[in-house]
Amino acid sequence: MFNLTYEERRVILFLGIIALIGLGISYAVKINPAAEKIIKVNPDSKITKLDINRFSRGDLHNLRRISPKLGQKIIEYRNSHGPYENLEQLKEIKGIGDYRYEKLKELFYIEK
Amino acid sequence: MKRPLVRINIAFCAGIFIAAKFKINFPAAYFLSLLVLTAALLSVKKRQRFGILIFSFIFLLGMAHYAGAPKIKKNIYRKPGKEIAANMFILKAKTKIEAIISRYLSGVPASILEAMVLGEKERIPPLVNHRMIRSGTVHILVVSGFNVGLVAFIVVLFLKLMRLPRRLRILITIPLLVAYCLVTGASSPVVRATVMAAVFLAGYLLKREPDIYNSSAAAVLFILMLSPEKLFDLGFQLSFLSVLSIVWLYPKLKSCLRLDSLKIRPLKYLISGALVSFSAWLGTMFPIAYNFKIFSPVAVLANVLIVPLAGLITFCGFTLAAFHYICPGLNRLFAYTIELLVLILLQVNAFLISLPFASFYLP
Repeated sequence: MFNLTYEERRVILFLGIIALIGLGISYAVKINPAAEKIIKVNPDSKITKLDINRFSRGDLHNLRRISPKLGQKIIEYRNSHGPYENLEQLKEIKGIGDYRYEKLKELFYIEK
Repeated sequence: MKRPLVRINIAFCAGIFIAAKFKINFPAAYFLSLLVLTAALLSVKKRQRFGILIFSFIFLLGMAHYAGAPKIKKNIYRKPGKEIAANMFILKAKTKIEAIISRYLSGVPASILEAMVLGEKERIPPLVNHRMIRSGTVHILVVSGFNVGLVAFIVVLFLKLMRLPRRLRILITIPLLVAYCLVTGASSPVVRATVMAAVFLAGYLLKREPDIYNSSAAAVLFILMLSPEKLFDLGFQLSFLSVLSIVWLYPKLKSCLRLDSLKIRPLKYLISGALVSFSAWLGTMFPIAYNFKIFSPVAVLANVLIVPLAGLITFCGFTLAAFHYICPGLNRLFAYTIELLVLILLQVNAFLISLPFASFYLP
């Protein structure tokens, strides 16, 4: 009808497939709301943040937000006080004020 | 070699390079121009004189252009403060697309899609960015030639569905590509891709055979004419190095492995993808190692797996923006698919960098 090329027809078919996949996921979420947790990216998970109670110095190599010295301080605090229970504890470390804490919050999470 | 633009380019870049390295000022460049031109005219044979004359002229033009151009540190394509109508329109378009993305997607997928579609990297979680650098796939988080090609394809497809004639489709697509280039901040890779696409489309319009080397050369000349300092910009260098290494190396590797004789189609596509990735990696390996102090052997495999996924996500992103106006009801469905694809992309990337010898930091 539109005199489309083979590639263009494939693109339209592909769009249909994407919509169908979305429909499938939407249906799965509707019948079982827990499915949403599986298909969505959790902002506080190991793929987007570091677990503050497990990370090592090697994980911080070349990471711009945090210097090796500060990373070492966070690890030392963990070793001396035990695992972090909440991220607010970071403020107890010398050199971490409100501004730096806000930046570090984007980097760490606590595995529950 | 019938590639006049490539020759002009080499001469122009050499001129800029010499002027920058030896800190030649404008009068010195002018004086040197006369000296080299006279020497060239006196020394070479009559038959070669014209070619040498042109080469010297362009070389000196490049030198004088660098010496005479004002030194601008910031991106020269962006002119904040000049609130002209075009700028306002571009800003509004960008804000609108950002709003659409944030409306349908949750935090992390929205930030990744904004980076892929608009080149806006600010909201990306730092660890995600860091892991992409380690796997050599951070280029998917910026707007590149791929996105420009995708926009061109979508626009042409849409205009075709509206039954517009071919010439008109091309004439509409070129300004839209320029608008997209401006919306994304007109970084070197986007300007390169936009100029190359415009030259390609203009070639179709004028019924001329497009040549990738000449269109790349046109892009280099365009960028350097606007800002000669871009020659020393890493983004500019990596963008052209990756394109040229793919264009030059990929056909050679393909014929070496006799890929055309392979009968199994999926395997053929897979190997082709790996070869493209390998060519780009080989071309950009040394500048990346030198500048970022990182060497990522996993980049070849990572690009084979992640680039198609990123392509899918970008395509879905453009569809999301377009369907907001055509059929917003469908957008929820696209959003679910994008969320899933982003999750897969991040998981694959995290797995790849956890492999042994995936990446090394250089001293």
